[in-house]
Amino acid sequence: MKLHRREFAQLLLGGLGAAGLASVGMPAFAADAGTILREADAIRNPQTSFVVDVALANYDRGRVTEQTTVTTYSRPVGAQFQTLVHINSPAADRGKILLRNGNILWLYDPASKASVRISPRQRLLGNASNGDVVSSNLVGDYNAALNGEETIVDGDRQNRNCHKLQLTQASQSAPYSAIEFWVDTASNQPVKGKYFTQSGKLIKVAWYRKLKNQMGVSRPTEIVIADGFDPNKVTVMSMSGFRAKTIPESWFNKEWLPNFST
Amino acid sequence: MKRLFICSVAATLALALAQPVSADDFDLPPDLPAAPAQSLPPDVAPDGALAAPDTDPATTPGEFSAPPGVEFASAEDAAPSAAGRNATLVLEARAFANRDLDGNTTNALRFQAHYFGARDFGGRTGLIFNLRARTFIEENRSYRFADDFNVDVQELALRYALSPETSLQFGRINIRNGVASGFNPTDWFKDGSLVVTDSAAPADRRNERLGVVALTGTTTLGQTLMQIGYRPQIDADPGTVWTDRDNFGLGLDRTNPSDAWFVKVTPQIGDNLSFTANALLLDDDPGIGFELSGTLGDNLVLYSEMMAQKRLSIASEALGASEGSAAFRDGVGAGQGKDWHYQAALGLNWALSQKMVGARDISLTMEYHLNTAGLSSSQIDTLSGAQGADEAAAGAIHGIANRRQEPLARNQIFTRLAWNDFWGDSDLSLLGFYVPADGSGLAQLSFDVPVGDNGNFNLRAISSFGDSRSVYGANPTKTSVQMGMTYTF
Repeated sequence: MKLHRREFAQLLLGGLGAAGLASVGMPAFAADAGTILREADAIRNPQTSFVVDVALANYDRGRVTEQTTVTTYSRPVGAQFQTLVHINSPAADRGKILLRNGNILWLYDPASKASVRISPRQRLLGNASNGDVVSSNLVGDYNAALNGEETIVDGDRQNRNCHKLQLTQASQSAPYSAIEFWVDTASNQPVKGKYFTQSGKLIKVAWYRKLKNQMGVSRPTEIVIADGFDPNKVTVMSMSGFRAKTIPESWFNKEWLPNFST
Repeated sequence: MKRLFICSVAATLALALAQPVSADDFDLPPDLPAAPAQSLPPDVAPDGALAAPDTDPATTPGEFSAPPGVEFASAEDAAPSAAGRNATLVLEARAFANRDLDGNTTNALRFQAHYFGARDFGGRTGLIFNLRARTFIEENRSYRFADDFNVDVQELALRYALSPETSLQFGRINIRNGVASGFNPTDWFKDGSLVVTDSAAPADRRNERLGVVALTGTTTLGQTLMQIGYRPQIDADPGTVWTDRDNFGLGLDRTNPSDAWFVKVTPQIGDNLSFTANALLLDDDPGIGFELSGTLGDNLVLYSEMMAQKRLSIASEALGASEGSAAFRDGVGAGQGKDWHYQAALGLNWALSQKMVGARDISLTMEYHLNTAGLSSSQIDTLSGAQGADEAAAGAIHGIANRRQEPLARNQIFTRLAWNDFWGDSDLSLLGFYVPADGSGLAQLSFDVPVGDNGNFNLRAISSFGDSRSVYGANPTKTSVQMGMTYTF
């Protein structure tokens, strides 16, 4: 799947705090579902300041069409993260930085020292995109309800017994109307997600796989994302080198970006 | 008929076999070949050792049950980050066909190498560089190395981090301000900065300017980011390396013609609005301004940028004390002393919604530009009616506006349409400036086609319109058609 910049943008705003639209009529399940989702979030992303290297490969009909590498700097604030995404390759985008701080998105170009304010839907970079490179918690954006247990095929084609969570949009800024999210019953590891638009269309499917010990926790280090409109388009996002780093809040200010140093 | 049927079946089977294994209901993950290796650092555990072996998902605890102390083990930045490599080399060949107001066409070629980035020396010190070498070959003109080859030191500065939140920079720095796309009133140091002017797009021009020699400091006070800086006046003789010597002139007389002090303050005001206030003391003349931006929904960015500054109007600066006839000077408002002038850019950027354009990535920018130092409608009439010796004075006014990179007209409209992935991975953009007072303007069409991973082919066409004495119609280059090929390392 070609990296869809608008998806990236949609996901960027998906991380903001949400108003509580609790699942009426399912209070007990909702509480459990929230705990499960919170633990799954904590496995997907360390809930502290951290840095991770990300490689993205786009496939179209089984062939690699584009590759991008970025380093992501994330700092928790409230229920969500402030994030800097530093583009390492391709060469044409090297050194560009995407800054996300709440709804504030800036794209910084080191050649011109210019920062451009962008909207969530707007295309961002020449090659690099995909909202998943920006750290975000689902708990902040969606109300969760437990929808039973299912045995599904995971990203490594193994059967896994999972909680099935039904996530519903809790704020206008959440990028998806609904998400079906499967979490391993034994470990609360995220296994699979199906993401739907407001019109009810399936926009993408993600499998979380290749568990590795990163920052002391077993985390999925590869996400396979299939395009819901065109199954021939797939993005594989590989993460490595999770590491704790104290990141000052001032870094998440567009006026700091010319001073950014790795 | 039978043959047609067989061919159809064969083609369908071939197509089906070419698809990757992927069920439309997404019960199974796609079956993919491994991607070519990318330059990621090896997995490193928090203590700097290689990552622990893969663990059994069924028995691995989540974050909440991880052993205490493991996650925050000592070594921050233990992994060598690929982000540390931060230098880019861009080679470009560009062909021009420029037609002037008399209809004469001139062809030209330009080759350039652009090398920019940053290099860190240890943890605190780094070097910022932005260098360009270019040569220009024009039809019907003898090539002279002294005139037609230039090295531009656009930036060359040291940075030093006093702490993670306090940084100093000293040297030639491209100090850039502003949120607008077509005109940035708060971008103080754009005057006289351009090294090449082959594009009308402000985004391109930002890549093509000389920085100023300055000392800047950036720090945080509470949740407010503050920047202060000083640009010294540099006096140097013409013909020297500091000014305009052949091949290697640094142009410091252009970028540092006077002392300037400045301060910028960026407070944290929520998670949607972005605000920066600034104050400038330029050659003892004060200025104050701000920029503000925010989003509405997923699609719309609204922004404004304003600057009030004590200065000369464009006409007064261009004509000085005596150039032009008295009637012309009166007509364009020249001869007035310094006064407070106001510049503003108010605009929006609208990414068209999926309901309107489906999966297409199309955005529209609209801006209104105000420049009270520019010419009013009646002054534009005087400018376009210049006769005899006043024509040179009119040219001087155009020249000052160009040098300053600000609108000559008091009121101007800017618009830009960007359609990314217009055709395959190719991008299309169309931008225009329009002056309501005289109906003149400038339009630029640009089409970019990726070539391989690192190449790009650019086709650009620029045309000004309006009367030949109008604000944009007086541009000596009526049209320009360009083809450029870049390769980035």
